Amino acid sequence: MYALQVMKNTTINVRSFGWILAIVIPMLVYFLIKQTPHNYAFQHFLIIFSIAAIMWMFRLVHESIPPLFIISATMILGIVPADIALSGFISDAFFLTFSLFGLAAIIIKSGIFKRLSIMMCLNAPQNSTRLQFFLFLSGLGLSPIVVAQINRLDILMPAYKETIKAAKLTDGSQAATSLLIAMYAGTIFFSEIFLTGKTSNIAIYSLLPDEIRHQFTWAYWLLATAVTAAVMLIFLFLLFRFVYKKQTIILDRNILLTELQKLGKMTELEWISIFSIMAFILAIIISSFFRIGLCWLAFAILFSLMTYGSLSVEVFRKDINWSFLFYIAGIIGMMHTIQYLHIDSWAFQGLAPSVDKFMTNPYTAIVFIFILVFLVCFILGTIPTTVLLFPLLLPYVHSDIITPWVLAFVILMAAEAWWFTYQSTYQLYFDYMNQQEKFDKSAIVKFNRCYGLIRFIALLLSVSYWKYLGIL
Amino acid sequence: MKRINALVLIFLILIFSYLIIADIKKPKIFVVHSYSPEYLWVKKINNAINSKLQDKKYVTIHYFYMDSKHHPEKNYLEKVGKKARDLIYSWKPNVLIACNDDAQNYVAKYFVNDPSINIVFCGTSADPSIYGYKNAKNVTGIVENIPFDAAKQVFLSQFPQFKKVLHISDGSTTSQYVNQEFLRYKWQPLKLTGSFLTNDFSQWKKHILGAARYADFIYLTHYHTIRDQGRYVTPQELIKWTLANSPIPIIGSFEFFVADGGPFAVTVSATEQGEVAIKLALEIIESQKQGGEIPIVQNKVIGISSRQPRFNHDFPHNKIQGIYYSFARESGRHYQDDNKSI
Repeated sequence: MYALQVMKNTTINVRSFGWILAIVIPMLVYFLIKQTPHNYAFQHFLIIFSIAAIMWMFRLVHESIPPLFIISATMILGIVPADIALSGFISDAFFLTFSLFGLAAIIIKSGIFKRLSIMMCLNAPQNSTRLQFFLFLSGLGLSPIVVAQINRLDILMPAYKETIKAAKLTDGSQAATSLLIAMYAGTIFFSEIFLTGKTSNIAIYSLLPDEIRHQFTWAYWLLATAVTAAVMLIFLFLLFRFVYKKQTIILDRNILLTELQKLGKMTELEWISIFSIMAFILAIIISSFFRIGLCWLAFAILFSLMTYGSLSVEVFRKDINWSFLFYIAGIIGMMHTIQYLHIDSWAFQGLAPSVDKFMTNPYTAIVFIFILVFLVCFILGTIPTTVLLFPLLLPYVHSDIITPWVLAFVILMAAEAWWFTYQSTYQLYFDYMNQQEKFDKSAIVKFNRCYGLIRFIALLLSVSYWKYLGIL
Repeated sequence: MKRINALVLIFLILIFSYLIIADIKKPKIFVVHSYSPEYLWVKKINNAINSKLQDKKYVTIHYFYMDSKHHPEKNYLEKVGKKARDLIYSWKPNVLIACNDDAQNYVAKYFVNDPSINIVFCGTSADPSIYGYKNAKNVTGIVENIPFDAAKQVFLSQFPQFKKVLHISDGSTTSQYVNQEFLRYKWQPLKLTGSFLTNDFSQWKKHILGAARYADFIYLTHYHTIRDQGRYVTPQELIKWTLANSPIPIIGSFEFFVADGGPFAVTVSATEQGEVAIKLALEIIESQKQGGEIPIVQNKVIGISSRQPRFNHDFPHNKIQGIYYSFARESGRHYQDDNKSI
């Protein structure tokens, strides 16, 4: 809904320009590519892709529509076999995301986090640092369980609002901003640290070679990202220590108690939510140690919830983000199509010597990839950049310099170092929320820009650790 | 907002028009087979073509079967050839793949130097120049010659006791060309003692029953147009009678001989014919070349096909040499008497 809202808010002139380009650019591509010796499939995929790219760039339609357009057009024209174009729909990524969406739907529906946040606020010490820590930790704790960052914001926004309300803080005040940033940092910043921290991780994971996917279980992914996470945590601690200094916040216990009373006794759905979270944590442990596909364990949990009737048909229909699921499936199919048609090697053919120059050691490779992703994000936004650049850069990965997983991780990290809000999906959420309730969004933007640099440093500092683990 | 809606409408109209036009302009291949789809030779060619097209879903393919083995009459062939040509005129394929001689004679040769279509021929035993393919701007293909050199080597090493060869086949167009090849080939140290062609079953029987007078073994090529007083004799029926009544052993030159019950064959590869034909067709489509720019290819692959225990029965003094047995097994051309290739 928020994405649509923002789409509507994009100025008419920009959208008109975008639609004109969506008509003109494919024609240009057609006339240019017609002169080349490429075959029918290659030529027409580039035309179709140029249409989708313009749609993405100018946010002309909901982000899930361009990949669906690509799938349908490639199927109509027979550009690749159906098992390639539709590979996203049979991928582990699709089922894992689907299962996690189902889990998130139950958690959101149950409102358990509102109850937990009120209970914790009632027992929390009356200072901003502890509350920041509480909100940060809640976001961090949700990251591996609730895969969509927007869903995590959906869950924690009520907790943040309750805290602000009970503390009688004004929106935009330094104390309120510090709490907002803490919630935001926990919810968003460590998304790449967990395999199931965001949908792009799962999408890219599905594009990794088989042997690497076998190596990178959920736990091994966490182990591999541990140093990066530690560096980011240290910076975060310093930021809160020196920028958002400790303040006394007095929470109105009466407001909190009234809210808690309104919620009444723990509902069955809340118990089920707690059970589901625990079951998912167990699934993570089992999948990591016994190498059973996490997607199927998560799917089994979802199946159990549906069988038990906890996930009603109505919730299944309305609260699972189907458009995003189709988006993920479509984008995975699109990536496989690009690889199948060897567009990845063609795209960088002319640039190969320059790219190779940077791929001489892990540090220059990381710097190059990070900057490239950062720049492309200005045009395409975070998710399309992530999933597009990975297969395009994969042919340049030399196992003695940088491995496919490191390439994937650097791309994922760099894509989150956005500069403008339009680049990021969940920032569109903040735009939407900001239209309803005022809060200091600029603080988040500044914070994110600053954290882009921290991500970059964290990656460079991780190189030795990756070498120690044998990942590099 | 009206401006946006108008632009979206224009965009959608253009997109759908583009998709429809691009779909219509998909590369098209029309395959004309001289024979019918159940014929093993045809099946193998089609399998080779289809497997190469697995990853080229944008290529639309249409098959046409002339069924000339069941209907070798000239009237029928002219009629069915015209039908195929009419289909080609209306469907407008980019490439016509014509398999075996009747398809060249009654269909493909009418399109020589037609700038709107390219021809890829395969399975032709005749010299391509008789169809006007020599120096044609739009023709390429693969010829199908009996692998005489390889066959002779196999005969000499596998059956050293055999010296005299007798060729027997039906009287089809293809067999006429094959016969010319037989007569031209230098068989030394073996000796070709006769080459009989007939479409009549009683004549066939006569040639088979008297074969021992001429030769040590029969080298059999085609046998699919034989009639018994007007009745079509099925290949299986014919081979069953022939094997039961021949006074000397028989070796085939196509895999279908073994599939129909025969003991051993040194074969032309139908798979090679199909693979090369589709490769040439795709080269024409993808590189936008004219057929005449791509040289005609000579068939290179031979196959060995065998059947047990029939082989031991017909050749009691010979055991299939390991290399031939392995080759036949590896290429899926070794048959057991349940008629399954393994």
